[in-house]
Amino acid sequence: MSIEETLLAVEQLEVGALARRLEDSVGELDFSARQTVEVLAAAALAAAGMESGPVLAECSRLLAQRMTTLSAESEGVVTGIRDALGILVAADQEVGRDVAAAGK
Amino acid sequence: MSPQPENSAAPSLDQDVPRGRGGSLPADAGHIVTTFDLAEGAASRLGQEAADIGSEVDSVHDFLARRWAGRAGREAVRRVDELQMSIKELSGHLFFLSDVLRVEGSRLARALTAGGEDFEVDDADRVLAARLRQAAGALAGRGAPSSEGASAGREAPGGGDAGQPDCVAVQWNDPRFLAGQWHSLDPDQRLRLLRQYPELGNTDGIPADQRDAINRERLDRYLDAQIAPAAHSALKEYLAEDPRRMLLSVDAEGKAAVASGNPDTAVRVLSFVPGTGSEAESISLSAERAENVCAAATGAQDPGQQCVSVAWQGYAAPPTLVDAGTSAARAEANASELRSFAAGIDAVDRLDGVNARHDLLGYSYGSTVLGKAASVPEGLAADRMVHVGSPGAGVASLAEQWVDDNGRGRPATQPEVIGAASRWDAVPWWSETGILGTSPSDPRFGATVIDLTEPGENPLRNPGVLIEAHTRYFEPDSYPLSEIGRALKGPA
Repeated sequence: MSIEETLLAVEQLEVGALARRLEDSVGELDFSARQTVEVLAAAALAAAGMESGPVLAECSRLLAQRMTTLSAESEGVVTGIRDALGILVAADQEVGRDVAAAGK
Repeated sequence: MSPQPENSAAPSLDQDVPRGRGGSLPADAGHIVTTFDLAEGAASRLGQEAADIGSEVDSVHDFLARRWAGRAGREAVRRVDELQMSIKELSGHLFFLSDVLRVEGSRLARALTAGGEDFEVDDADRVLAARLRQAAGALAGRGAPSSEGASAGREAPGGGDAGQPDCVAVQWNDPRFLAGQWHSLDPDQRLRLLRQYPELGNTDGIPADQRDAINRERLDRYLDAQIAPAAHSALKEYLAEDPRRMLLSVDAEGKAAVASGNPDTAVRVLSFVPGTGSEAESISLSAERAENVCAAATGAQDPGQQCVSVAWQGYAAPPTLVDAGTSAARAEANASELRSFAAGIDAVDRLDGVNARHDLLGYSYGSTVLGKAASVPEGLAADRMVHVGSPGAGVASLAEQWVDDNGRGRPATQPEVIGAASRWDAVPWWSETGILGTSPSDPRFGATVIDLTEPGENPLRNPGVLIEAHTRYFEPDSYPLSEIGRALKGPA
């Protein structure tokens, strides 16, 4: 394996790990958010009949919605990172092929 | 995730809901209190979790920005930027929601459980609903509705217009003003200030969860820059050991304050001011001692959120005994920081209308800092000031000690100032020189004196006592610690 190939492999590993960690973290946040959504809904239910009850319910609903958006956004980011990494790898391979062809 | 909570019985905004007790009073006021408490805690923790992930996204961003170029690389960095912004916003909105539930939610809960007049409950409910609408607006990403209604009956301290923070001369050095001012802001106004003033994490009067989130990010920056790596690494490590811990302040040199939990929601808070040789690198020792005092005062092994302990290393302690013994200058120079810190804790805590107990304990040279902090007529916001193993409180007597009683200074009384020491501890004898003032464990000072000498301890039989007495005050299950705990168990 050439130095360039080794460096690229390291880059792939590092970036891959970063992307995975990000995915996991947002997944955990999503899990915690579900619990908070439920707790807020329970508070809303307890305060039903008061002016603040429906607003709490709205907060609960909007938090759930916000997390869905955030999860999608994070998925897009991870895909973007992986796509960019793919382009990097492809570009490197192309350069490698060009160099090899020039040497013939 | 499912956009709707499992419990679809929660009322919707469109429902025509009877208002106040004239309509249908919730059957169980106690249930409201419990669920509001749970909701407040859950929102705060989720906000912290989001802030932590924000820091992680920061590192992804930095990594990519440093190493990637080209169109695809730039695009990836841009999207990470956007995600970072979304997460930080969400974190801020959750802190807002938690803050509103803690303050306005508590007021409503109290009005309900106290069986107050209808209009009191209606008013508290109306104010809470208005502030929750601000939270909902922020979560929906449509910006907060007008502050009208939310600030009904609650003019910003200082008479400023809370809805227009940019037009207000914010008094950054007045924690009581700032606490009220910050609380009156809507989520977007808060975010704007956070972007404008990244040093808000060290600003007394800002809620602890928000400070913690800002300071953790700041700590990461310091670590990246390798400014004071040993101090900052120690802080990072300490925080990582327990997710409930909070970083209430941190600076480039490593001065910091850490808490075992959220002081704003605690029943009582104990702040520990360490002495000679203490530094951020040894913050875990100060924190452990503070936790031991909390446990002794509450009689609990794991006081948890009942008693939140704070290790306040907000000053550069004298590195050696010679430095400590020859000058009170370091105590004098940092006394105002401790005063401001205590006022900030008190001010944020009082916003919900309930005053939790806050005791301050100065150990060794920390007592000099504590005494100096209470030596001006503005006073120190503390229910008890405990001096343990004091070489001198920086003043001659109780007559020079003042209490900040909800923003008004008044002379401290004897029960409020406690001097505690073992008779075999040599450090308090230093006060005979007068260099650091009088030790509160000296009856001439005028404080409540507690003898921490272990029964049966005799230096003639064990000379080591003379060396160890000063360092053993906070050992779990020890006689001195139980006596300190007993002194703090009494009513505030």
